[in-house]
Formats: sequence, structure tokens, C-alpha cells
Amino acid sequence: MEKLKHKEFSIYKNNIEVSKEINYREVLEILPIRIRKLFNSLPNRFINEVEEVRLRVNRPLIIKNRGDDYFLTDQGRSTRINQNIIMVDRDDIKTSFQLVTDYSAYALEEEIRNGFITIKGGHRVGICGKTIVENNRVKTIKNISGLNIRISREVIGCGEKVIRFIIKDSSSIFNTLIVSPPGCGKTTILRDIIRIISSGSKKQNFKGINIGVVDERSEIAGCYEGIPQKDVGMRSDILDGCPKAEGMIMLIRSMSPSVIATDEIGRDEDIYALKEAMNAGVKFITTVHGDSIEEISRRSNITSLIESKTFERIIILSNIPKVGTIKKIIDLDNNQVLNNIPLFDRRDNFAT
Amino acid sequence: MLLKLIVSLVLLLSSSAIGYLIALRYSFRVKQLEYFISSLNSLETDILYYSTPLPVAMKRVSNRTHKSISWIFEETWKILSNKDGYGIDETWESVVNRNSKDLSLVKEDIEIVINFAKELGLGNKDSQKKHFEYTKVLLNEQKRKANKEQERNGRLFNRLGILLGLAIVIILI
Repeated sequence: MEKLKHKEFSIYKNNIEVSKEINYREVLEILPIRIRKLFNSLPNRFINEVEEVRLRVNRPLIIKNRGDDYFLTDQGRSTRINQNIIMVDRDDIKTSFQLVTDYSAYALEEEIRNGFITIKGGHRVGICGKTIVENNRVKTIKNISGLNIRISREVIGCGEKVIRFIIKDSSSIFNTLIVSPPGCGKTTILRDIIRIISSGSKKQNFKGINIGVVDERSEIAGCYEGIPQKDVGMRSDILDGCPKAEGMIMLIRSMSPSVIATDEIGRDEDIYALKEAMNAGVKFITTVHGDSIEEISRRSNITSLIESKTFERIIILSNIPKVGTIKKIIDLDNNQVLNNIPLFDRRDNFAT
Repeated sequence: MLLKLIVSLVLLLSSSAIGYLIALRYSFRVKQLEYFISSLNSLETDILYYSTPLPVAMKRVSNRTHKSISWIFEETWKILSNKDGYGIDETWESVVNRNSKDLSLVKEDIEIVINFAKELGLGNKDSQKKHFEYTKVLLNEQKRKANKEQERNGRLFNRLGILLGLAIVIILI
């Protein structure tokens, strides 16, 4: 037991450059007072690992922590057993929704239409309920029945390990595609890569370059009232809430970036715009949902990107054994696998 | 004789003053309903045209309205911006109820004012607009009633005060 403790400590010590920052107060501020009190009695250790908090009407409150679901007892403890647990009622959801929107749902019509709201601190709250459709378009959501608070964590330093595969020379990078299933830390790693490219890295002898970020879902920079809540570096221009295809062209016209970063490309117009932008001499870092090259190859528009060797590097992420594991790094130019260590992890420096 | 005259004059004056004060309550009610309607108008503008967040809008409205009702908006703003985890409806209701004695409104009016917050801030601009309009229609109706009552009862109490004073004076003499 003594040894184990010691080992844990040593991993933590190695981990000093990787700082996890989660602004917990902002998450508490959107919970109704009844649930907030219970949260206060949870141990810090547990709280720091929380990934999601789910509120559903007449169903238990569920906290996702390290991939596992936990309930909350009425004593304020986390448990996996379905006993004496806190149920969420309609009033909780109603109050919570008011707190999320700062009592001003009318000011967030567009966000509600898209189904999520970014709150202070860059966390995202997904909304579910009855949708009102008008002219084949979702007009609004009423009778809110479920809220999903996704706690966004900033893992500063998690991109350091991959950045050397992305950097070409002191002021240029390779076009990079990050492939990952949902919830594997794709956005987290993209954000840190953006930060390094933008601020530069002494270790890699890379000076920072201008980087434009099209942040369609306000996930990367987590803008709240237009101000990035995350560290995205000093030379980043963020176009918040802008459709990707339009945003890329807008950035090229207006901000003359050397690199453009976006999250989750997939639609035809995104890919068309991306190719256009590449012809303008801009480098790209983007992500796509998928498990492996084979899987994304089944999508015709992405295959075209891979076959034409538009991207020079592909990074494949996985959540086995942990969130943020880098499964593979592929050099498409020379068609070789650069790195194939499954235990390459954002949480500790287990195998670097 | 002089003493008698002074005493009866004092009696007459105080009696008519009491009547006047009672009548004044009626006109205060009309005025406060007017203030409410105009503050709703300015809150509506803030919400619909400037998309101001509700707590900020409350503060702005409290600066603009008459001080006999501005404390409601001010206190609501304080509680909302503290982010203590209360909903708008409970906040508003507790603020209004706690100090409803300071208002010259009758129970019916207070109920309308309390119900107003039940939908406030929820839903999109269209529904907010309808909600504001609905509340304003109700308040205008109350104002109409209050006006009528003021005309009738206000004058009544004014005269009643003077007449009662006169009656007492005559009886005593």
C-alpha cells in the first residue's frame, strides 16, 4: 500500500508540466441550490475527474467520471448503487435552465436552436426537450426535459507530445487531421496544439505563427460573450459560432492566417472550402469523427481528401486505456506510421 | 368661545385630513399601476430589442422607474446576479411578497405582478413579447378599475371626512 501511494505520487510529479484546469465554480453556479449543496460535500478528488453531469426529468442525477456513471445519494456521496439516490424533478431542470441562460433564454435563441449553450468557463450545456418546428427548421425548444453539462477541461501541455510530429520547420507546419471517436479528447488536444502553434514552443524551436480558428460550436476557445475562456495562444483569431465553410474563407480574407484550425469537418461544403483554402497556401489542422483510417475512408468526401494526400499527418486517438490516448500517427506523404504506442497518454507521461 | 372655535376647527381639519389620506391611497394605486406598466415597457424594450440579460435589464429598469416601485427590480437584480441558484419566479415572488405592504396595490394587482415573472426570461422573443402584452392588458384593466374606484371612493372619502368633522362639531356645540 505504501508503495502504491508512492508510485501515484511520482506519476503526479512527472506530470507537472501538464496542468489540468477546471473552473468548477462556474459549473456549480448553474445547478439548482438543492443539488449544489450535495455537490459541495463531494471530495475534490472525485470532482476533478468529472466529465459530465446529466439532469433528466424524473430520473436520477448522473455524474460521469472517468468513463463511469455515478449517482448522488441524498447524503451527498457518489455511488454506483441505485439506492437513496437523488432524482431530478421538473423544477430542478427549470431552475437550472434559467441559470444556464442567465435568466435570458430570449438572448440565446440561436444557441437553443442548435441545442447547446456555452457557459462561462467554456463548459457546454446540451439541451433536450420538445422542439417547435417552423418551415422545416427548429424554431425553439420548449418543455426542457434534459440537460447535459459537459465539463470542458483544459489540459495545457497535452499537445506537447504530438507537436513534434506536426511541426515542419521553425515557422511552418504540416496539414494535420485528427481522427477520433467522440469523447476521446479530440477537442482538448486540438486546443493545445492551437495554443502551441500560436504561442510558439522553445523546446521544438518553433516560433509562433498566426492561426485562425473557426469555432463553430464554441468548443475550442469556449468563448463567453466573445472572449475566449481557454488558453488558445497569443496569435489566435477566433471566429466564434461561425459555420466552418464560410468561416474559413472569411478568415483568409480578413485575418491572413498561416494556419486555420477547425473542429469536426464532414459536410461537403466544408471540404470544398478546405480545398479552396489550401490552394490559397494556408495550412490546416482539423478533426473528424472516426475510429480508424478504414472507417473514415468509407465516407466518400473524406476519402477524397486522404487519397489526394491533402493531409500530411494523421493522428488517431482512442479512449483505450484512457481518454486522450494517441493510437497512431501516420505520415501520409511517405505512407508510414511514425508512432504506434498505444499508451501515449494525455493524463500521464507513462510512455513518451 | 375662542377655545370652542379652535377645538372645533382642529376637529374639522383632522377629520377631513383622515378622509383625504384614505382617498389618497386610491390615487396612489392608480399611479403605481401606471409605474408598473411603464417599467414593463422599458423592460420589454431591453429584452426584445437589446437582448440585455435579465439581471442587467432589471438593474437598468430600477434606475429608470419611480422609487416607489424601483426597489422590486433592484432587489431582484441583486439576487439574480449573485447566482445563488434561485429561479426567477421564486425570486420575484419572495421580493414582492416580502414588501407588499409598502405598495398601495390590492391583492389582485399583486397577483398579476407575481404571475408576470412566471414566464419571464423563458422562451424566445416572440413568446416574451406576447407575455408582456398579456400582462400589460391585465394591468391596464386593473388601472381602469382603479381609476373608477378612485373617482367614486376617492371623492366619497374626501367629502365624508369633511362632513363627519362638521357633524361632530355641530353635535358638540
